Amino acid sequence: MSNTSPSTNRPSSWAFTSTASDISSSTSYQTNQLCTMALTTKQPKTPSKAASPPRSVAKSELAQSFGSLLTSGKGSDLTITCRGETFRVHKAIVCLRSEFFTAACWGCSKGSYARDYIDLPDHDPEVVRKALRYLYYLNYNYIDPETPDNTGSESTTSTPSDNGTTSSTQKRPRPSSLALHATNYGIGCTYGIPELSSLARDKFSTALHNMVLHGTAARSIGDLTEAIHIIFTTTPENDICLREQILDYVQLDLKFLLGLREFKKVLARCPEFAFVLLVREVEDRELERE
Amino acid sequence: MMLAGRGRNKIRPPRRGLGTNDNVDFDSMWAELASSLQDIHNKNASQLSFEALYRNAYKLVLKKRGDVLYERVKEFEEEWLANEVQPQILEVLSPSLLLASTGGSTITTANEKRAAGEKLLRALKQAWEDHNLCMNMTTDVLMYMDRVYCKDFRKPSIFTASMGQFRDYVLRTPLQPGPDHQISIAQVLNAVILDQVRMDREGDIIDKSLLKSCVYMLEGLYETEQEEEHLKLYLTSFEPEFLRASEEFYRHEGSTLLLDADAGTFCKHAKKRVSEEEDRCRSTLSPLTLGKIKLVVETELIKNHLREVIALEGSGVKYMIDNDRTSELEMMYDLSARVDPKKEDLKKAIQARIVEQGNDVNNATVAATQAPPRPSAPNRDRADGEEKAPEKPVNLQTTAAINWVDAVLRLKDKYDIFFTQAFQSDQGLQTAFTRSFTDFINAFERSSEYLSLFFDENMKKGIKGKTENEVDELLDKGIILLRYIQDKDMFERYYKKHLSRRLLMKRAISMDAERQMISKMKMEVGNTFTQRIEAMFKDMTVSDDLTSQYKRHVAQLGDPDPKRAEMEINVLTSTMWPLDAMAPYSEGENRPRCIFPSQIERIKQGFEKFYLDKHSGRQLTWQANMGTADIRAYFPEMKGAKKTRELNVSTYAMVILLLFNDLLPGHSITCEEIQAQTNIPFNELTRNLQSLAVANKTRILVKEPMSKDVKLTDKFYFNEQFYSQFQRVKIGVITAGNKVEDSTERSETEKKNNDTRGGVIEAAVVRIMKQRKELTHQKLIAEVIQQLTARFLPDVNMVKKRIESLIEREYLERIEEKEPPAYRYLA
Repeated sequence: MSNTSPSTNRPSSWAFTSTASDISSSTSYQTNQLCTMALTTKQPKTPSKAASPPRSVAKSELAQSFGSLLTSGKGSDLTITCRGETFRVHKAIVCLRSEFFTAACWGCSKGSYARDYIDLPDHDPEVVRKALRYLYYLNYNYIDPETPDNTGSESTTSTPSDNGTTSSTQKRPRPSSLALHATNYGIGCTYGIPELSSLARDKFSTALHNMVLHGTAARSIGDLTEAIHIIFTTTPENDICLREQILDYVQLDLKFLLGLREFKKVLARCPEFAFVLLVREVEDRELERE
Repeated sequence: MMLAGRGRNKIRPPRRGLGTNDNVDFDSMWAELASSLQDIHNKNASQLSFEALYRNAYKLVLKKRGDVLYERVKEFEEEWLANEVQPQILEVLSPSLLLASTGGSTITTANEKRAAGEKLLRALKQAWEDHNLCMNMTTDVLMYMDRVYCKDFRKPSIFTASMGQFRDYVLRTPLQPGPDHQISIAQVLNAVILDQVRMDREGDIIDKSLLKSCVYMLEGLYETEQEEEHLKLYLTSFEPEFLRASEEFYRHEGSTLLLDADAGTFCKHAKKRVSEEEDRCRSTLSPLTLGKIKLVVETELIKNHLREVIALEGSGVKYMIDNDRTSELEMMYDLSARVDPKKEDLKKAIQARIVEQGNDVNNATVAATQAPPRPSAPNRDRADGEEKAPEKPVNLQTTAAINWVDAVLRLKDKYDIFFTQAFQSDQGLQTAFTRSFTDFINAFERSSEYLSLFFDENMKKGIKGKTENEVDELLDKGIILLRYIQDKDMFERYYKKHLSRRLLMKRAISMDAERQMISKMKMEVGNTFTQRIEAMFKDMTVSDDLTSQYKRHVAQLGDPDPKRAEMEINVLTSTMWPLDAMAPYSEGENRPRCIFPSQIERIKQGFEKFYLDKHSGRQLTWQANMGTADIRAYFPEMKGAKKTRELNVSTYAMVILLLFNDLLPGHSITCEEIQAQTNIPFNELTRNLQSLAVANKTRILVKEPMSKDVKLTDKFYFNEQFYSQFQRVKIGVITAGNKVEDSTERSETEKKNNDTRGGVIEAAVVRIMKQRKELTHQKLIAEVIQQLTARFLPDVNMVKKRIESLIEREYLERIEEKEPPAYRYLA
């Protein structure tokens, strides 16, 4: 099985791909861990990079202090509401990375709609929280020390000791991993945060890759179908970034997937997905005939 | 197994109707958006929720309604611009403006017109700014549409599209329907801006920032939605008209200005206009126009009139030069440089003036030398022995020579100042200046002689009491003139002649200055030029040694003759010294040998023996005409205690005076007898007798009859009544100094110089042919001229003659039947 990462085969549409992962703090170390795990399966004994360079320590300190701003809401000058939840954030930080927030807060000064609160009723508060977390920490997977359960599965599965043993990873399902990345990708597109999209895309590739590698598709079918749904409803149809990846995978395992109830459901739920899949299958068949 | 990397043809799912929850209620969402856009355009957006609008637009695009949304927004903008904005502009458009922009004459006053224009500008500015603001806000709301729909379908952003709409529905919509009335607001706007610019040029005060805002609008709009830089409306619709109007304005201004103003004013004005236009481009119009409008001013105002301005009678370049208007010349230079990198017209005008002024100096000098009209032919003076009369004009001529050099130097200084202060040390002009100076200096045939006299005068008197730096400066100036002189051989000839007099008669004030001069000449003209002059200096040093050696020699001989005269000798190498120039005899004529009195003859022979013992095979020729002698004379009847006087006389005078030692008191001797006994050439004799017997203060002899002329029959007595309060009396001889040559001397010198040149040319021809063996006639001539120009400009006829002569003497031969004619060197 070729373990070429899909993200390296396809030209990146985002300029900041590498920068975003470079800047990422201690949490990005965990992200890297995921990649390392995927790429080093053939030599399970190889120790992974354990020590993070001092530079990223300083960076992580900065991210920590920014993070405290988000949790405490100190000096906040912008309030975001979302289905009853309230986030007290800082224009200077959110506007820097998001075209949407820039336009909303720093847009035309004269007679504009610039205000001090923004309502985002369309999203799950958890989604908004992740996006905001990204804006402060440059990574949405950051694990709040006080709430370790919050998407904590990744951090525990990817410790170096567990690295070689597929059993431990298989034991712990990561139910919302693909869907989470797809959601964040969509959020990045919607609110004009290209770095978030690019980070999410990379994480999505890795997660999908892992799933294929470990054959955990059956167990994570819920996550997979959720991701399909999110991709085909929140990203524009010409944005093939995630669509291609998921379609490539689905075609690979189509027979198996078609046996699953969850998958059939998503075919019904997402006609566009079903349509594209069909077109591709037909095309492939023609190719084989030639 | 591949996860990615397939090349697929895109098959898009249908735009609408797929699935169940894809349906969005476009109409209601659009209605909401449209009303919000209306609010934005009415500046009533403070109650709107940005995120709600954003979400609306986002949803429509995500649900593939981007195309409809885009078209709807465009329709909305079009309607707004055509129905709301344009009518507002039309409201302020007064009929007079309309009429003016169609070219019709208006009866309104300037003030009314101006007010109407400003009103329009203000309205347009407001409309433009509002439109920009609204479109910025709209763009923010429709950000997702721009990013996804416009990008995917390669549509211009909604902002760009709406700018094009502003262009079409506000500026370019014809004001009146019908094909023959194509007047639009854009055209009226152009006319108003041009009118304002015209007012500004005429000195009225205009609202520049208002104008700038409208220009800014034209710069922000493009002909196409690709927004190519060269298709800005400013460049396509305004600028050409502006340039055309400016051309007309400056064409007219140029011709009127030329009628009324003098050259200085014209320059000032033109310069001011250029900088005004530059300022205008920066403050009022666009920097894009800077180069083009400068070109218009430069062409219409400067280039087309410059020649006339330069030539303007009574204020043009000639006037500026004559009145030292450096700053005006500077402006003139500046203007010329703008339109012509070679500044031909200015250069010609200045050159003409240099030559004119130079010729004035030349003519004035000629006039001065002829000022006191000589009674008759110049030769008569000498023949008649008339002494005082020619002396004056001769001095006058020398003064004229010095004055000529001074005048030329003054002229040079004047132009140097212009050169550095007005002409920015322009190389091209410097070359032109040099050429013109060379022209008029060489047009004056006595320039070499006069320059040498100038040096002579300064070496003898001028540098007295001057500091080293001043001397240096003075010499440098002279050297500059030397640079201009073409016949450097002629100058060398004169310089050597004058120098030899200075050296032998000990007239040079400072040997340091002399040496300095030589080294300066060496730098300027080259080694070969100064070699012979340096040899003269060497002779002088060697002679000093010789004199002291001889003195020691005499002392060793032990011949303590108390009456023995002291002797100082200068042994001169005959080829290095211009001996013939010092005592002019035509060639071939035997130089008469002076008969010395016996006591002098003895010393002479003694020295000859001493010298020839040291250097056998040399020939010594005594130049009695060159020397001086100190003699102590006893005047028995002199008043006062001391009855002896020391007389400093020329060698000839000494020889003459010694004759009177043998004469009994009261006896006389005739001129003829003197000549017979001394063999002094007649002209030298008369001159010496004149200074001994005629000049008032130094009348050692009495002449009978008493007259100024000396005739062979005149008798001379020793003047026992001679009195001088001074112990030491110097008896000068008229010709001792360096003077301007009279015309016979001059033609003599020229003849000699030509003879020398003949030799030099022959040498050059032989040198060249020896190297080349064969050469065509043309090339040979060219090479000869090229080799010799450093010394003089050879006359082609002279070169031809010399070649003929060389052929006769079988140095060269003609190559038979060769075309073009050529020569071969015969070894």
